[in-house]
Amino acid sequence: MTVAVVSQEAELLAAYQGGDALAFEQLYDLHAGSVLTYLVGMLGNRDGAEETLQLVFTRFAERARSVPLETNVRAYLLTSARNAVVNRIRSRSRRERFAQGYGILVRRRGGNAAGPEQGIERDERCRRLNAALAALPDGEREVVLLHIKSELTFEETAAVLGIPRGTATTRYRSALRKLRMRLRHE
Amino acid sequence: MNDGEIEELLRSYDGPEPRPETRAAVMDAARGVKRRREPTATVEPVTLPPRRRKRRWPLAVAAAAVLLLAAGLCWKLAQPSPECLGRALENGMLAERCGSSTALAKGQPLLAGDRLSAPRGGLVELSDGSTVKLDSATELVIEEPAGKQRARLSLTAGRILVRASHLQGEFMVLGSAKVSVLGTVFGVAEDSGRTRVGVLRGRVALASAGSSLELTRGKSGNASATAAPSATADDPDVMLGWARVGKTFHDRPLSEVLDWIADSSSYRFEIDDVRRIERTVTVTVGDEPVRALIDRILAGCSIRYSIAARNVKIE
Repeated sequence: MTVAVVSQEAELLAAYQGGDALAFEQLYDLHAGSVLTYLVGMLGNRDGAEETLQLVFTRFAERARSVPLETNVRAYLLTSARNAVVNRIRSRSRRERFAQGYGILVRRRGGNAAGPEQGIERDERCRRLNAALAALPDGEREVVLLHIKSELTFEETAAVLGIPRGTATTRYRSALRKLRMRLRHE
Repeated sequence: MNDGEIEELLRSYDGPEPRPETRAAVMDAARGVKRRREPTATVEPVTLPPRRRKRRWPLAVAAAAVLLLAAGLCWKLAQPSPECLGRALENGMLAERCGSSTALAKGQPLLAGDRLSAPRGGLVELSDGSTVKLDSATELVIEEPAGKQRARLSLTAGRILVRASHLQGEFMVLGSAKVSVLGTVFGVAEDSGRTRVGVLRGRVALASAGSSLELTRGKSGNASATAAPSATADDPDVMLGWARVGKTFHDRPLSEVLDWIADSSSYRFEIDDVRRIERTVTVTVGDEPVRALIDRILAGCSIRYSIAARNVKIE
């Protein structure tokens, strides 16, 4: 899947660099959800995440013409988002960031077929999953979000975060272990 | 729930959809229309800045300093302290050290060159296990032993009572004359350039002006820097009476009192039946001859005894 997306990205990027404004919209539609999920997961604040999303894409629009075609656009955008996150959260405490208990994950994929009871159960499970994610250390949560929700490989995840691949996988395994324990105890 | 199930669960939920107004603002910006929503926070440029790492070198430097300090402390503690030549056994003495006077507390070390003064008397233990009792107004210098010496004291004024340990090596007291200990309990008094010695036990060699005199139990002698040593008729028990005055026993076994007398005088006890001294006594030692002290104690206990040549035989 990742290979196909990158290929599509290259075509869209080339089109945008050629003056096709529609190509930029397609790039936005392709990646905005993934970037927003990461931003919400790291900032714990929907408004702040939307603002940062806007700024990340605006910057990208300004600089996209000089971005090489072989660039992994999703990783590029997530790197930009990560830098913005680092600046925003530096002065804010973890408790403050997640005081709202805002949901990182909000709905089930293709999940409208189930009945009301299953819907309530899904919502409860989603709430527990969000709580477990919010309880993870930042370094572990962002690896999970980038690898699972943004579908980056561990190499790409490590590159976005500026850490060795082994560190990324270690954080990932540690995060899964903590999620498993937390979901078991709740 | 295993790792695979956790991953599947995470994948089964989507993240939030971006708001339409955000999309519109981005598209406007992309088209060059400035309709951006006002940001509430600073923006990080898309091009990656150099990764800002936490400065860790101060922590590393601090850790290295702590390790260095700990290693130095361990090394220092592991080193013998050759200058430590004994310790104070009582409070109240003063040590003149490096030009300043220091009050010695019980247990504090004595260093080479310490000039001790004892306004109200004092007691020290030397590194060879010997003890030295200082009379009031005594000045005693703890000197670094030389050669095969195990202790070296210099008495400049006052009186001391030495209980020398049985270790090998020469124990030397320097006054106007030189007093070498041959394994004994003895007293030395230094007064106006004259050294007086009384021996309670063992032997002491008194040397000055190129000649030497050996003194044994119950004997005394004196010498000066210019006069050869000579024996005197002074009773060492009388001479060292200062070291006994004020000692008090309260409901203590008689055997303990007699042991103390034997230890602090030239008198010895010979006891046929130890049951004779199985009682407790209360005694305060005054400024009296040892003989009078023994009489007072044993007569008070109705114990029959006889004394000949400083040997007390309890019947």
